[in-house]
Amino acid sequence: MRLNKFFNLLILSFLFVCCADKVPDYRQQWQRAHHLDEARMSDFYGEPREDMNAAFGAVLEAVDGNWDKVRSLTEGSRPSDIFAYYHNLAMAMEGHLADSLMYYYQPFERGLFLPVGEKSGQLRIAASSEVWYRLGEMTMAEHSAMLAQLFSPEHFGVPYLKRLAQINLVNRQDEAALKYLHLLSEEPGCEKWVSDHIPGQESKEVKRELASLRTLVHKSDVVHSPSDYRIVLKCLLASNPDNLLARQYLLCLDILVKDLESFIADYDPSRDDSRLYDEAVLIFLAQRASMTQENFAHFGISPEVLQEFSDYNNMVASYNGAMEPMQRKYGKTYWFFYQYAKRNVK
Amino acid sequence: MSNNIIAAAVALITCLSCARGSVEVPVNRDTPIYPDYMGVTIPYNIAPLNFHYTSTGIRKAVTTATCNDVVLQFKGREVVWDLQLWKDFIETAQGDTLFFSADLICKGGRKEHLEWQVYVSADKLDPYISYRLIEPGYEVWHEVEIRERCIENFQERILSDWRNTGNSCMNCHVHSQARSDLSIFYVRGKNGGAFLNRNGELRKLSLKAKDMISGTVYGEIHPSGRYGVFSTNIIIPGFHTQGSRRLEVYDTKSDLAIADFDNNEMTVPQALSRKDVFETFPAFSADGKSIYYCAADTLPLPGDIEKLRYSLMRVSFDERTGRAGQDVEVIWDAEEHKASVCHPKCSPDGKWIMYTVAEYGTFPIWHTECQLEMMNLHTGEIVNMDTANSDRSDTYHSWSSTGRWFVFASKRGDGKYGRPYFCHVDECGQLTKPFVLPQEDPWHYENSLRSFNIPDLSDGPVDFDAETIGRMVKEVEAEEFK
Repeated sequence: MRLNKFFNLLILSFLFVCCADKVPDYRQQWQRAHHLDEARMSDFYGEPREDMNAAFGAVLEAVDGNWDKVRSLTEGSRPSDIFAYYHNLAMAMEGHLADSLMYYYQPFERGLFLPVGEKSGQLRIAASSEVWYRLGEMTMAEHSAMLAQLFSPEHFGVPYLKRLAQINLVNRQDEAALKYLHLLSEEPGCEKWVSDHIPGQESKEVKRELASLRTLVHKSDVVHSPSDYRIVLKCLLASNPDNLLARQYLLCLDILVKDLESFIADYDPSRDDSRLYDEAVLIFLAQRASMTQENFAHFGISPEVLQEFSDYNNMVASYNGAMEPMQRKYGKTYWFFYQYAKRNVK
Repeated sequence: MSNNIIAAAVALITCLSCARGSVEVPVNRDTPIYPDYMGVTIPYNIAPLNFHYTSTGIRKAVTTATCNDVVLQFKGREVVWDLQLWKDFIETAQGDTLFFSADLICKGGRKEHLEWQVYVSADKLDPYISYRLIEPGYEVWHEVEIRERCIENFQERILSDWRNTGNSCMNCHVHSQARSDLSIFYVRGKNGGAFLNRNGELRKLSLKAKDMISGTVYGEIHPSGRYGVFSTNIIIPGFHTQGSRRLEVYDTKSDLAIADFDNNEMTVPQALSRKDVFETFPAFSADGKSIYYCAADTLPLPGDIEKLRYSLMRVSFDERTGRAGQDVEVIWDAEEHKASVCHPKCSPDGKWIMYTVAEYGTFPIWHTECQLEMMNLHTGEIVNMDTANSDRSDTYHSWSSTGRWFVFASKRGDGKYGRPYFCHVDECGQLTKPFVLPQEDPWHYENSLRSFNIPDLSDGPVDFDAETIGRMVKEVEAEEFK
């Protein structure tokens, strides 16, 4: 008997070691979660590819809040909206969005929010709900999840049903949540998730997450267009000034779209601390000929950052604005992004 | 030892593969049976009322249905009728009552006893209904279908779909006074048009003329079949930040226009196209001598959306000239009621006008407060419709050809998915508890992720199908209007 237990443990350890460093087959998980056979899967999403596997993984792991896995799946600055979006979100969930922003490919605001429409592509739509949900913006989160379902090959997907159930639980719309939970209860592997989310019988962890999200949701109402990101973020912060995710997203949105006037209006040097913000402040001050000691003191700009900014400008002048040498030395600064990053206009 | 390893591996795999257990999720908890057919009034020609019990942990269920001398018994959580058995059962029940009782034994030995009645009206319901099936995805479409269902059984067919139209969007198929030989709907996008089904002929029309601010949007066909009255709107979707309010759709411009289908002419009446007024949702009176519509003063939107309130208006219409009158009359004053009206529809018997009332705006499908309201057109008296309304949005109604029934889309229950409910109206305006369109599968509504959009009654099947529409989309040029 004791020997049996020992061997069972041995096998489990063996399986654990074998699987530890291998990226799971997320494509297969995706296929099952969308009720697709192999032919339909290949027809819709193409043949198996490492980057697609990682993208499927990012969507699936993020829905379950596994941010370590999301970060690991997106690492390496992949030049893709979806990877930038998930990497940024994983970093922001740990409060490090600003510090990490310039170390990853940034497709302007599309690294923070994925716009959705009939031509967006299903995977991008599938991803777009996540940030809204984590921010506490339940209308946009629901909109995106509905569209993800709508544009999926069989108009069905477990991640979207989970998200729709969660959103309705946050909004205290239990009958709608129960509908989605009922559908999920038929899905292999979802039993625990479902029983943990049944209204009135939620697990402690789910209760805690719902309570936390309910502190973030809007307390006032504004009607806006789907791309009014700034309005939504301001509104979330008006409802809960301690919404750290919304605060990071607001400041980084201003920075990525190079709207420094808005950035300065939104920025509070006494609570927002990052080298990225200092770099943005210096550009703003330089543009307005306001490089004064008083302003440096107000914004808490250190002499080291100030010196580097001066060196940056000198180097730009000495190389006549050539990009490559600047990128080698300053490619991870906002100064470089501000000066050289251009939108792809098709 | 190797046996042990294999046994452990098998045990592990078995454990993992058996992870799927059964979790019973309680849905539609506010009613013992779903669909809720307790105490409803049905027409004698309706399809079987299949349902299931909503309690969880049911171990045994026995249902007894009685009508006059006939007693039938069903075993199990789901009650599913044989079509012919049902037809025989209610054949003799016109104007009578069906009695149901049930004994349930649930987990732990808990017992439940239920009794209810279903009233069978002798007023026939028009046998067909059409609707658009669509996920409630706010403002983007994909793979939309318009279907027609016979309410006397479970037969359904597709009238127009995405497969045949290059994934085009389609809007509301509406009949004039529930006539199967007079209806219209749109296929949007390239090669689209308004499809007019009139007296056995199907035409593809481009209902746009130079004075109009857009192609036609909402509207209705005159009882004579010669004219149509439509709104032309610039429509903008906006999202509410508050999660429960979701989407608001508003117009930044809107006018009314009249189409003459015999001469392919559009007119934009001056009195119905004021720059300072939004005019929308036009409908003809039963005799075709008036046009009812909704109107609101223009406002800066979306900022003032909560101040946007539409009144119900009436203007005369001359069938001989195809012209609307100049004098508009307020029938229901938005300021007086501190609310906004939309979707007016007159009953074919000329007695009633029904409309939707919401706190504000022109797109009430996500307004939980929005309700149906009915006015007696002879007396101006407003009829209380609490019996039909719910705590979720009740909208987009359509009258039966007799004016004794109407169908409407209600989000009651889960609050998300619109379902077609039927309600009986007697000659005094008394309403009965509405019932949802019966489905063969008693779990249909719990398992469906689509809304039934714009349900519209018809006295027969229309004379076209999805292939015909697809062919016309591809091969037929839309007739121009001037």
